Amino acid sequence: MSPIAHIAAFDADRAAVTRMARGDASAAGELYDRHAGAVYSLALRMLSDGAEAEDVVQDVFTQAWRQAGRYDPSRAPVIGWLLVMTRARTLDRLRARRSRIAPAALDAMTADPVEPGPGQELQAIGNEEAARLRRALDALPDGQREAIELAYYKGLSQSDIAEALQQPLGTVKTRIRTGLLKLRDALRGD
Amino acid sequence: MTHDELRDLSGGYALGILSEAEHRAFEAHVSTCPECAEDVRGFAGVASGLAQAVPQVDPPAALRDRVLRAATATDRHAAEVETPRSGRGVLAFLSAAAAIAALALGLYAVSLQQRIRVLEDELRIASARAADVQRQLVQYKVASDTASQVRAILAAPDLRRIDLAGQKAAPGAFGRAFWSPAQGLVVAFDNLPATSPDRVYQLWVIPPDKGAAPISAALLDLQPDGRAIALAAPGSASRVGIVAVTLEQAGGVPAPKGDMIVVGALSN
Repeated sequence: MSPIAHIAAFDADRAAVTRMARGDASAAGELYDRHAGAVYSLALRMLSDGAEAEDVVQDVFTQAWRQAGRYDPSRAPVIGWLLVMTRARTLDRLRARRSRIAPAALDAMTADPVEPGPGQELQAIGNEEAARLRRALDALPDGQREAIELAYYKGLSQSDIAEALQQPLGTVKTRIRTGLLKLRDALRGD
Repeated sequence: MTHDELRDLSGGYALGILSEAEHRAFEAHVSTCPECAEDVRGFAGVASGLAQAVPQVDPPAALRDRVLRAATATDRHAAEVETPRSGRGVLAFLSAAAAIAALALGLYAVSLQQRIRVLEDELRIASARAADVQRQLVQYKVASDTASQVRAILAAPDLRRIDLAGQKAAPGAFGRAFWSPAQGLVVAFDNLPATSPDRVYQLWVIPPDKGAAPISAALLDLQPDGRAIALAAPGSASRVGIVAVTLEQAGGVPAPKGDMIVVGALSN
């Protein structure tokens, strides 16, 4: 996207959230058309279940509608705001799956996620960068890639990853760090 | 923790998988360490990328209508109240604070102390309003004690988290329990249905032993917006297997009889 198109898209998104905060349902439709694909895709990658991923899309747009008044454009673009919600809602469902308590409750979980701390806001990346990252992820040694995927897409703690992969905790921490350094360099185009 | 040990947490921090205690320890460290801050900046970029580098799949066309209809039908939350005008407002703030870093709660506890000092001054000056100010003082002192206790729990190194899921009687309800064997148990609830005046939500702790009886831990103070916060009585939460809430007669009962509202088990 050209810089001008980028700024125009950013402005249009921000304006839509402002209208949504005032109760404008058509603004929600606009945001759905632009971003539901990204929300659905992340949920699907994490849950491997289309029906549940659809439920997450509903959870996220419901939360966005309710909390539109709290969106702060200086912290992250709208896609970042939505994807942070997507990951939080999906991790809630993954945890509920693991504890096997009340599957009937999943449809209506509405707890607020933990606010992202400094350095945890989600910034938008372009298609080229996404493709570079995908290639770099595939190119990582198995141990590093698996650890990072279990951490990011399944929300497992480092000790749970160590158990899942039958590795010492220290090895898992080192592999995550090494893998992330390589992915960071790939993203920067080094 | 040594710097190397803290640095080892930078990846987990950026990926959002650290425990509450590790998260807070690293967050405190990163504000003073340029090397780790630089690491986190790079890793946060990777985390952002991982969310967007997944294979892009369009959702089914029929989803759009269903989602938009459901989403726009819900009530929007009123803006969060930062400084309460009454004791009840304090509890509403605390239930949001339970999901926020302990640092914010610490600052709030400090502001409560200041408020108490102001009220004590007012008490000296305006004896005609003494009864009203005295009542507010009690409310703020209770809230300040509660805030200190909650802060101690959230800052404990042995902190565990238990999510409580809504049951058939209240499928939309949700609870998040924070448990430190050393400091106690605090639970924040959301989306609890309103109750009639002759009923109360009661919090139970079931120890992890086979056949253990539920121990009554607290009665919930339900806010009009469906939120509540419960601080377990000391000694009732030294060993936790399951946390649950039932709907009982006002005043509470010695053993659970009513509908189960939310429940969660401590995972290993």
